[in-house]
Amino acid sequence: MDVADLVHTGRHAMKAPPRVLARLGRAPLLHFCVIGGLLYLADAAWQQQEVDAAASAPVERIVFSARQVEQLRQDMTMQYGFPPSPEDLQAAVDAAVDDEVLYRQALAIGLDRDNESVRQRLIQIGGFVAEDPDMDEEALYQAALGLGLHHSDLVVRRQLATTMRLVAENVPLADEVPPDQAALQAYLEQHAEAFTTPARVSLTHVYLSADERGAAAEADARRLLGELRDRHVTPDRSDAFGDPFLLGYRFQRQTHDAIGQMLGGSFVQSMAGMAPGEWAGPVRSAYGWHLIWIEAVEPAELPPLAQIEGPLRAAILAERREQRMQDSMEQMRAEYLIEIETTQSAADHMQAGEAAGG
Amino acid sequence: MNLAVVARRVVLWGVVLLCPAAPVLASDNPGPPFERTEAREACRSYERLRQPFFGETHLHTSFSFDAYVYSVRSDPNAAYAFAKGAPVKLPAASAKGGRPQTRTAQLARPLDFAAVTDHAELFGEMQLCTRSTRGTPIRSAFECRQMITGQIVPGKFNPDAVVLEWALNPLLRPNKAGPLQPLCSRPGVDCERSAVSIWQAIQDAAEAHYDRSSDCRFTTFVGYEYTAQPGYANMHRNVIFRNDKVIASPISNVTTNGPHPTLLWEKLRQNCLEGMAGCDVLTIPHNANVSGGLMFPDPANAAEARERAFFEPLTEIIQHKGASECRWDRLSGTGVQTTDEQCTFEQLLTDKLNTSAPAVPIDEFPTRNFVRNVLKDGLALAPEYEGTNPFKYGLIGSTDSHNADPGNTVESSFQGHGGTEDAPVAPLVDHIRTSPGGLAVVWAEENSRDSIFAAMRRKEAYGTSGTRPVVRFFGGWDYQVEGRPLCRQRDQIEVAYAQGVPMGADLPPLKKNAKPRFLVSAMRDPDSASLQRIQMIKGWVDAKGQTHERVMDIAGSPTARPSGVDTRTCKPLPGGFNGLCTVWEDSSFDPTQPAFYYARVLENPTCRWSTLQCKSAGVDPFAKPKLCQQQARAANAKAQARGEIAAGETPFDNCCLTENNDPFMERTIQERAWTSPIWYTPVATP
Repeated sequence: MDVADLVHTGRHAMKAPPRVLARLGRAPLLHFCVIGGLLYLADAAWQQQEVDAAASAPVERIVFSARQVEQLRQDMTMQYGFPPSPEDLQAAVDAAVDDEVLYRQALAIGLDRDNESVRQRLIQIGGFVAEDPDMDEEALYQAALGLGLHHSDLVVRRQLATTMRLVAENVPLADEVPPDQAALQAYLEQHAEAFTTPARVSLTHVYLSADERGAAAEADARRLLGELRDRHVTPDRSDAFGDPFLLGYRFQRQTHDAIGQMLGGSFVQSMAGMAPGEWAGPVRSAYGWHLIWIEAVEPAELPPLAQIEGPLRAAILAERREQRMQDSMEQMRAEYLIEIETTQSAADHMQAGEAAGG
Repeated sequence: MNLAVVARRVVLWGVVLLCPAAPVLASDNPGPPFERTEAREACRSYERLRQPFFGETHLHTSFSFDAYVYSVRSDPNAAYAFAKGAPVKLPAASAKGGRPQTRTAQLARPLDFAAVTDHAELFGEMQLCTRSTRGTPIRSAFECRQMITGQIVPGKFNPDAVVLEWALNPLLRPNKAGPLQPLCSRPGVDCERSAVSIWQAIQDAAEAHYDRSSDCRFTTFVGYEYTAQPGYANMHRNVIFRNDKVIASPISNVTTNGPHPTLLWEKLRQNCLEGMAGCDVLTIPHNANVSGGLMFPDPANAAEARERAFFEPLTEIIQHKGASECRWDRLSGTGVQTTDEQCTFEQLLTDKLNTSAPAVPIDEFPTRNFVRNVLKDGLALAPEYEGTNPFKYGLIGSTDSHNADPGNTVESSFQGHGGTEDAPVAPLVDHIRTSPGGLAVVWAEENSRDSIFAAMRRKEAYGTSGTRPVVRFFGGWDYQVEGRPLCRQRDQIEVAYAQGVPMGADLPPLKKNAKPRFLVSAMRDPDSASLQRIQMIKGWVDAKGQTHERVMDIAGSPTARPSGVDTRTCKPLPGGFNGLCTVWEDSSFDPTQPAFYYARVLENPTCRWSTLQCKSAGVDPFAKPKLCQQQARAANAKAQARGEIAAGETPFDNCCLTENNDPFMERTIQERAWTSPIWYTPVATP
């Protein structure tokens, strides 16, 4: 029903005896709702028109062919020495598609014109393809443009994509407000692990060599554990027991990573549940069996806000930039129809690569 | 005079004189056995019996001209950050003029110490061309344009030619050692003053990354490379300063007017040791395998022998340009003064830096390109120099990488050593005889400059081929051999020091009728293959002045437990030892013959970097020769189609080099450690 109907109803209602209706007809709230509703409907109709207009323009396609996916997979294999996992490959494909989107956006807003580094690059490669290598810079530049090198050269494309990324990251926000104390505190609580200083442990250990003792090593270790406990041997008196160990018998204030590097990750894991002040084990390392006395544990610590305000603020701003970038990328991506071909053979290749890779 | 006054004076002077003695008398904790020459917090982790520290002593960054030209743009700060565990940027294989930097490298295990050693000869020119502010007129000088763009002829990218021009062209370097002309002769240009600017930046980077807190996590050393190379014969040396008291500007080939290490030492003595309080320095010769026999010449006189012995306690036994312990050609069955079949390890074909020269036949190879021969000759030469052995070198490894990636020695992630010159894949496979290089390991009390420098001076150090086995080596007359109880004693190291000497030292004076005994104890690198065996290498000289050597297996075994790799996956086969320990006595000891002993620890085989890269490029070195060649042809064709190599180049043919058709190449290698030697010198009979 339209405005005329409403007014009619109102008048009609006013003619009718009920005073309620009459009052309603004059109520500002009703007028307010009606007018607001009309405005809303009008706006919605307008939006529709806009969307229709956009839908009718041709959408650019970005196609990432199976051959390109395969090329990417091979490049990654060469770079890392082993084939990439399906997740890594997908991430690389997405990154390549994003680069293409950024490149086209850069062209769309004219970033390639008056761009000094693009110009220098084109002059450089123009020299390679020009018939007369002694041409002056402007002539080389025009020759390169004429050949379409600004579209085909990978370095130019990458430069434009990078510049576009910078533009997208730094679009200023009208409501950009530097983070206040409350925001810093909230971020700190959310990302505690990133700012926590690692736990450190001090320990003494007694080592039994698997090479020297052979199969008896583990049994020897258990027996020695009993002995150390029964005789109440303290760490400083433990240097009469066990086999020589070249990396030392006492680790002071070492992080779990450092100990893991020396003795292996499983050693660190076995250490996890141990209480300080007593002999525990035997724990296996790459070398043999160990009995451990944990002397002190400095727990991982989250520094107070005042101490890390600088890095916190930087982290929040970086996160905001990242978010801006993601939003911009989504908007830009939406303007293209993106097709990524995956053929069965490409998938098979990935599986075969995983099975054989060492 | 008043008696009281006299008494007081006596007491006063007594206190003054005795005061220095008081700390020693009062404390039960004598100071460290090394001198402290700098102010810093005391290290929390101090071990009287010493701990192993892994590091790099030979590394180039974008401050070196031959790194910069190949598009390396990471500087000493980036290099030190890399050593501590951060990623470093490397140029893409196709990069030109330094762009783009799309590769990265990163250490899984950070180093304990590192020295950045850029080429000092062109510091001034590098500062002017690459570090002066944009728009400075000098940057458009043709020499600088060459450096910045990597082009001799504008438009033709040719970094090899730029390096040659800068290093050798008589027009640009008239003395082959002087400053770059005409760049340094232009009005208003002072190359020497610019050199000081870049030298200061190097010192600043070392200071910024040196951990002076009690955590002692990382130590840096200020240094540079003295790049002497007459006619491609490598006489380079790394100059390493003990602390931050360093000379005002580096003494390079330019300063010594040519390749004269003796002049280098003379000037270092003048300007550092005697010219600046607290200054101390040593020099480490580059790997000698490409020195054309010139790295270790007979000294002119006893004074020179003593200077060499003082300034050079250590030498490189391996780096990215091959190993220089010894050389054995398996196809002809001959060696350079050796029959040690392990000496096929990491060998180049030429005896000098010019790798495009023809291969040098084994019987023409200069003997002193190899450290074992040098050590033997040192024994024979000592009588000519008033008893000073001029070649008493300890052994360490390094990389000589030009990628600002110190200690980047893991075979499975090798990305080359020189920017775009040998980036993966085709250019790297083309340089198939080079390798990631090795590590320097020192036994020092704490991770600080004074402690590590002192360890280098006394040669308590060893080199590895890139992995991290932990190795101890001691010599003495009293170690018990029967049942080798030291290998089971907790106080093994305490006893070893008390009853003998560590690696790098001289045996204590001979005991009547005794034979020297040696303790060797090694633990595997948990991230590499298990240990296979320990060998003892003895060199000695007889009464006629003839030198000899013998290589003996003293622990472990090549056959007791199966060793090798799965040729499909390159995974090492199970077997081998986690640790090896033995006490060995030299039963053929002759007290009249000067001798040295060093231990070589061999890991079980692992795939070489080239095997891994060839496989991932589709060429399998383990395949039958015909199939391998087929795959190589396909890989060459593909690389040509992609424009990575020129028509007619066939780098992937290198993938089919094996133990059966090449004198030195190996598809699997045995990573190893070499300890510094322990020397025996007979007491002169009157």
